[in-house]
Amino acid sequence: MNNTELQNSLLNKFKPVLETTSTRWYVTFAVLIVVFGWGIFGLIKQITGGHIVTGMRDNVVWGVYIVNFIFFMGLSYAGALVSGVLHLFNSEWRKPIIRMAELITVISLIIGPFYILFCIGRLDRLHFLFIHPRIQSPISWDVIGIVTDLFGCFLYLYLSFIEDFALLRDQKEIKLPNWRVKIYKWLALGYTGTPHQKKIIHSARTIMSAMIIAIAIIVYSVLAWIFGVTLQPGWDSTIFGPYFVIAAIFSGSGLMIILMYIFRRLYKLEEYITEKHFINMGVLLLVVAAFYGYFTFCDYLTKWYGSVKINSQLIDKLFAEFNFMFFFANYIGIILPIVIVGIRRFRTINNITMASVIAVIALWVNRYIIVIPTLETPFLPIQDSREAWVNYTATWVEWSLMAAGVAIFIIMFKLASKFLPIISISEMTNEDHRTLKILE
Amino acid sequence: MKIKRYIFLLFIIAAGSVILAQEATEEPEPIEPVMELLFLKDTDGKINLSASLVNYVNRQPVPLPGLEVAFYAGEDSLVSLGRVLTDNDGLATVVLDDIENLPSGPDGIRYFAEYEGNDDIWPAEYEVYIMDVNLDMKLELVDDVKSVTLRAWSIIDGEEVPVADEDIYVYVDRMFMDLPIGEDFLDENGEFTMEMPDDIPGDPEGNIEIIARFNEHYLFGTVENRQVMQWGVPTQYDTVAAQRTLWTQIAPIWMIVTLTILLTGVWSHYIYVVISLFRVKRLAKKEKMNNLV
Repeated sequence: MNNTELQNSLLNKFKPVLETTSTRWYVTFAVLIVVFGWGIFGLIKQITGGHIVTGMRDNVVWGVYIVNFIFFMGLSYAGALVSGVLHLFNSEWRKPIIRMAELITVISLIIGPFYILFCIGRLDRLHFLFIHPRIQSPISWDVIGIVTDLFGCFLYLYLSFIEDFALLRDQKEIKLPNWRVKIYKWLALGYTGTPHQKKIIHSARTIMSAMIIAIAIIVYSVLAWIFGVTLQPGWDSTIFGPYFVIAAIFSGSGLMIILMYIFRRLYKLEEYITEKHFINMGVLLLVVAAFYGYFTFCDYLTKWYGSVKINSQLIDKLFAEFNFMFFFANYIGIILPIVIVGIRRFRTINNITMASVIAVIALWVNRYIIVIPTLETPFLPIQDSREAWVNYTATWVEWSLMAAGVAIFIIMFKLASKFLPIISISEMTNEDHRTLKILE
Repeated sequence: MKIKRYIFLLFIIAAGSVILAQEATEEPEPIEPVMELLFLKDTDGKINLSASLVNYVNRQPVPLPGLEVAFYAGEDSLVSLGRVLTDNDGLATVVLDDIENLPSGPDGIRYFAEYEGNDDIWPAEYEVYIMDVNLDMKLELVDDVKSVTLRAWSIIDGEEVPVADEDIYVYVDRMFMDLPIGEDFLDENGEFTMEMPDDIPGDPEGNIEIIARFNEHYLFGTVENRQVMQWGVPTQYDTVAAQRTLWTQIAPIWMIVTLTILLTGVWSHYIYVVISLFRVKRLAKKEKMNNLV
């Protein structure tokens, strides 16, 4: 493959990252491994001691694990939607950031389902989901959806990597170990950049971007329906499907901005990931925040106005026991990003990133107040139950496994960015005259 | 300017910490429990004495489980009836088979319950005076009319004395609460007769449980008599198998069709893309061969 000037410049930029590993990289990696290891220790405690080591009991059977499952799956679908939409509409500014969206998609999709496994009491019966699936059950829809989505996302990610694999295989500037070159060679499928090959890859990527947008919407709606089709207070809602999808894009775009900020600083990519990218992503965050706020208001307004006793009890609980979380998730988490991005004066890279951090945390809290208070508000009064069985408090085991999930997310991102440039080099060099505009 | 701001911030944090620390070190006030004593005489003449211990938080009763309640009868010389721990509902119950030997005064028998208290919970006690009455219920068909006749009397100096002019209720036992079907005052003979409704759903055999009761009466407490009769409308509760259940053998056709279309659509595209990848590889091989030639 022939490298362009821009391509060579980018390869040079990533040369230190791909070629050598700094002490700081090893230190952070070691810290993350320790956090992950602590999570594994918690998991061993849970497997040997049973679910009694968690805060989940007969009444509140879902806890932080399910919250994390929804959260990570949301990040994944948001990554898929963002990268799919940007690719499909051929947005020029997407090029330096699209790989991050693709990596978010796949890594979150790998991590998310593990939380379901942590939640299941009888893992020895897990295979029943596959050998005795019941089509009528939303759980089966979810299993089918996640498997389909996982395969699709891997395929989409791989398609976007092929040209870079070929590029890294053929380059002579960076000294890479033989085994890595062999892997690049094997994964590049002999791609040499002929017009015919380019056409095939481009057409396949276009198909897959359309596919993963559709799948992301369907699969995240299915996840929402696991809640929405039950008659539980707070869950039985017709807008839960679109509400979950919007919330996912909200958290996903927030995470994208955070990763853009980190990698921009870490790899000194200021000339590639510019303020324009932050503002564009910030505007997306603003629009989605507005929609998300609107859905949240609609959902709670109808529940409150209906005055159904059980819904009123739930809303009272949200405004009493969960008032801080409710206020943070549904006021600060929505209004702050809108204000920061909406007012030109505040629209700086640091501020947008800070708003994104708050948005992501608020979304996690939002998931928490969707899952837990409902389970603490049963239809029939709970009799002969201990206080701890009715009210949920996560234990150190659950928090450890959550920290382990975050740690492994960062580890996988670190490893992925060591193996391949975090900016898709092939994307940046395909349409040179338009791509160069980004650098202007 | 900046330094001033930091000092102000530090002051706020320090003040907040002091307030929080004070709150954290304050000793909690002992709980002031509220006790109530409930009296129930059942069909077999057994007495159920239940003491409830609760703590009112925001005007809502919160049960106090695991506390020992002592039960007594009598005025000056107390007869111990037993000591029982409260359950999760804050209830402690003793069952008395026979009360003939308990000391009785002009107002009836004095029942007394006491919780002695501890460092965290204050003591509590409660007393009630209960006159012993008997309640009889006769269920019979009179000219095809289902008739319920109640008679209440007490024994005074070894003689039966009718309980007159007291309010009495008749219920039918239902799943969540008793269904009231009659209420009236007893006549001078201590009797009350009513006609039983014909349309009350019963079990598949038509059995219903009829309850006559003095309901938390100021003199007698709760006294009841329960009898099961085949006077209800036989009701089959097994519903026809619902169409939309998780335990049906097969999913609705529309669901299978939708899922099949969706999965076929998605996976056929996946297959197409995977074939495209093989095409890329094949093209590379072809190009290599051409270059060699």
